[in-house]
Amino acid sequence: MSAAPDHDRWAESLGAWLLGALPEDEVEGFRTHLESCADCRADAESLRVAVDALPASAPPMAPPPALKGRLMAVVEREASLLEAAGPDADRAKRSRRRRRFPHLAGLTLRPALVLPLVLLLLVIGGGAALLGRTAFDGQDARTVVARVNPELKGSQAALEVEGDRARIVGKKLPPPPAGHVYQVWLDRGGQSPEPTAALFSTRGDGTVSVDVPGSLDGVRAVMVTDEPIGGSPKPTGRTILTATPA
Amino acid sequence: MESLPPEQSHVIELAYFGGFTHTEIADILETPVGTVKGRMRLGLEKLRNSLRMLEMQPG
Repeated sequence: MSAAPDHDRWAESLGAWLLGALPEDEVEGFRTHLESCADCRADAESLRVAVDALPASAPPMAPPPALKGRLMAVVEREASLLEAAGPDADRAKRSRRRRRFPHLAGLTLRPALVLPLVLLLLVIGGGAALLGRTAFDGQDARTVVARVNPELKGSQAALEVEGDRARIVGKKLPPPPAGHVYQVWLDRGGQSPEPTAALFSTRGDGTVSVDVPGSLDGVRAVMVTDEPIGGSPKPTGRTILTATPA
Repeated sequence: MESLPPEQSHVIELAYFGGFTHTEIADILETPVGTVKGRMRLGLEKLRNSLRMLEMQPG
């Protein structure tokens, strides 16, 4: 085996490439390097087994009945097509990235009990700057992939959790409609989710990074809804995402 | 994944299940991109080694 001349530049990107985490503008460069670098090809082959095992490590989540029904319909339809197309029809090209995004079929929000004071804190471009960023990189940090409203095609979000603190991160999220903001809610199992002061919009590139105010103690779910500017004492708009930190 | 140090499983989860790129993860974690890439690779190596050990165990 031998390394290509540009090995040092690209070698550290191998893990990211295998995980589908290279930015688009680096993918072609890495592929070109891989073609000429026997060392990296061998490493990629060796590490592939770890990537292939990742789906089995995802937390099991039961899909909502409506989604399950749609999935089964797709599976049965594709099975029929494959059967008709012959034995080689399912030898598809390998997907660059495989994701597991259980979708939210719709959340029923219950009426509010109390009307707490909602601070008029509009956080444009992510709440980090105003709410104070927290480095979610400690020993007990973990990630909970959020269920994003399936109407928001291509949008992705996750909850970064460390101790009793959390931050919502997302990408490819549409900005809230004119006159609206996104608002974070905490579902503690009461009659209605608690409003928080975290009101935000997306950055220009569709990304989001907003700290969840307060403690996660007793929180069953963190939710984001679309609300009029200034926020609401109880959810009125559509649910954008839900994440269950437990 | 439970066998990995949290900082390694964290970046792998964000990348693989969250769909974030290494630069996005670096921004989320306020960590240098090089560190994120290093953790991804180290995490995958440890995961591979754990899988090999499991395969070697009898039964």
